[in-house]
Amino acid sequence: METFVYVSMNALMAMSTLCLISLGFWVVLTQLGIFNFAHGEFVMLGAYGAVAMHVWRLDPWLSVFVGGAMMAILGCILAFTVMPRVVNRPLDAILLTWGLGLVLQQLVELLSSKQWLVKSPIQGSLVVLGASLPPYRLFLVGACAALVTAVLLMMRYTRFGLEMRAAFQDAEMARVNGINAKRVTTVTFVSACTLCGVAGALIAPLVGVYPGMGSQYLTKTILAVVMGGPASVTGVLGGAALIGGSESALSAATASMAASASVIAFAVVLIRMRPSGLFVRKEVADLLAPKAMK
Amino acid sequence: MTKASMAGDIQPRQALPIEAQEAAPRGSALRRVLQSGGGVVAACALLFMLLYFYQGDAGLNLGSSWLIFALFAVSVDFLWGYTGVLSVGQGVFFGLGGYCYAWMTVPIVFDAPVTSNASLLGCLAAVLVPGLVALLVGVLSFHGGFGANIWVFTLALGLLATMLGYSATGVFGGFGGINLIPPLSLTIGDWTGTVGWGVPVYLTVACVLVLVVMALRWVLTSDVGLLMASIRDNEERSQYLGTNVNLVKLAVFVVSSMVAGLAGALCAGVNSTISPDVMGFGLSLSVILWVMIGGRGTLFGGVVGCLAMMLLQWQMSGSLAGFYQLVVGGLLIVIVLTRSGGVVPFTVHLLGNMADWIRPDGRRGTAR
Repeated sequence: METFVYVSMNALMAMSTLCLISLGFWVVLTQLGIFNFAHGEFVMLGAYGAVAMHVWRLDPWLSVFVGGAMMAILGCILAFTVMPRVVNRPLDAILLTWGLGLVLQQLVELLSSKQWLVKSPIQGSLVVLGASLPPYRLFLVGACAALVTAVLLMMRYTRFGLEMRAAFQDAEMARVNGINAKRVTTVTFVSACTLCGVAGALIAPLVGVYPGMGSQYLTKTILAVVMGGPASVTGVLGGAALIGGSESALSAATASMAASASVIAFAVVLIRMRPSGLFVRKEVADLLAPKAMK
Repeated sequence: MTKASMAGDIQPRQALPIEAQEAAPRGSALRRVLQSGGGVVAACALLFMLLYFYQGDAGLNLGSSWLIFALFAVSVDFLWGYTGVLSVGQGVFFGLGGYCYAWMTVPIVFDAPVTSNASLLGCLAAVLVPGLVALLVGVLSFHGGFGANIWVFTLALGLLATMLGYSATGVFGGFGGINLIPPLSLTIGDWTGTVGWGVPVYLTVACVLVLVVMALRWVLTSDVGLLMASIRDNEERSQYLGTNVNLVKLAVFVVSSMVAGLAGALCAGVNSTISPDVMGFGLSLSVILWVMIGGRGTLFGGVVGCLAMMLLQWQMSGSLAGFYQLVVGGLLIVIVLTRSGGVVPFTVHLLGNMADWIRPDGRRGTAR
């Protein structure tokens, strides 16, 4: 029973964090039509927000705001400088964002190359069904779920969400209908960056923070988004939940390396069998899949 | 056919096709093959003089490993620059080639590795095994018109290979890799020739590089080369014209991976060590950058870009080593933003303009 609680708790955490991280990646993919290879570094920078709070002995809860704000500023800079140049040029964008990620990673590496262990804001332990769990994990699951739900509700029910979805589907038609698609794209890109920063700051206490930490999130995110189906948000969240959950659950049974490897192989087979995505109907995918995927 | 595809009105600029086509020398097929070989010979000779006078034999060993990377860059240019297929895991094939060589020559996987001509067999395996793996990955990603996202599959391949490389210590040697690999050698009857150090190594590697470049150039001047260019410039249209796009892409991918494997085998033989590092994304990214700097779709561009970056890395080793990665990332960004075609097409463009200037009839045209 205890093991079950541990395993399911870890799986839940992996699922919710990967959902949160994938959401930001997916927004960039649909809005700008590019795969953002610097995504992992965005998460890493957010995590360094938590490190900053740790070093300066400030309230650890501030790290979420600091990480988010840091990434919002960087997102603004990128949204007005390099990003418009590679909109809908997927291959170039892969190279550009890859280079960007390299620069960000190396800059952090030059500042401090060591691995930071950040103290979690909630200490102590909580006993659930005989298993003692760190409460921060529970909080993290809740926080991620809340954030993802908030983003989904925003996209579904607000005016801006409507404009966003319109710009996703057909930027030209959205412009014809009086939506400032460029502004919508910029705002969503900056929000996606902020989301990455917040996610990074949230997961920082649970993982070691080091300059190269982003790459593992990037590859998992890409596989999750492509496997689940980037044409709709259900696909993305489903893919992220499946990848995160299965990897975490498998790593309880075998070595973590073997678990990751088998999940990757499994994902590749699924992508090959259903190119439009596991959780997206083919008709929907044909209509709505981002240009970079076609 | 080239004219028709060049005149295509919806030319995606990202593929940089026009500049690349300018770089192709005019003339008969044989002349073009000889020209490209001559260019590489000149580059090798220049590097030889530079390194030999500064560093002697040690410099030449360094230089031969650079030429091996140049060979790798040429294989990527063949795939990416001429067919437009971007693979982000070519390092896997390079590493696999190196490991094949190591497995055939060092008793780590097979208890008693082949004794006579192990080196040659290693090179052969290093060509065949990556070719087979590439065939598998290529069928997975191209069959049924799935080719747009080959990078997803090669990304997954790179991840799997690095994971396997670091965890399967009995086969790949763990973090340290496999060491003490015997150098390249050849046995014919009683005679055995071994190239272990200095000038012979450099000459051998340079010969392989020149021969491979000439062979690839020969393919490119044939009809297959035209098909490749048409796929790069407008995949849909060439499909309408009846080209089996997926088959051509698959074939090019396999050939490119075989060349990468050969480069890996040479790397293992010359440096006498191979580690799972080379299968990671670091090398795969670097090789893409070399090709971008030198110029996509020129073959020679890969050599130029690789040697230039290797010289830079050599100069920046030590206290500046951290900044080298910054330079790499920055160059990637700058090249994409400026949509630069690379050093070689730029030079050719410049020379073409100069030729126009001194044309006797005084008619000035663009190099195009």
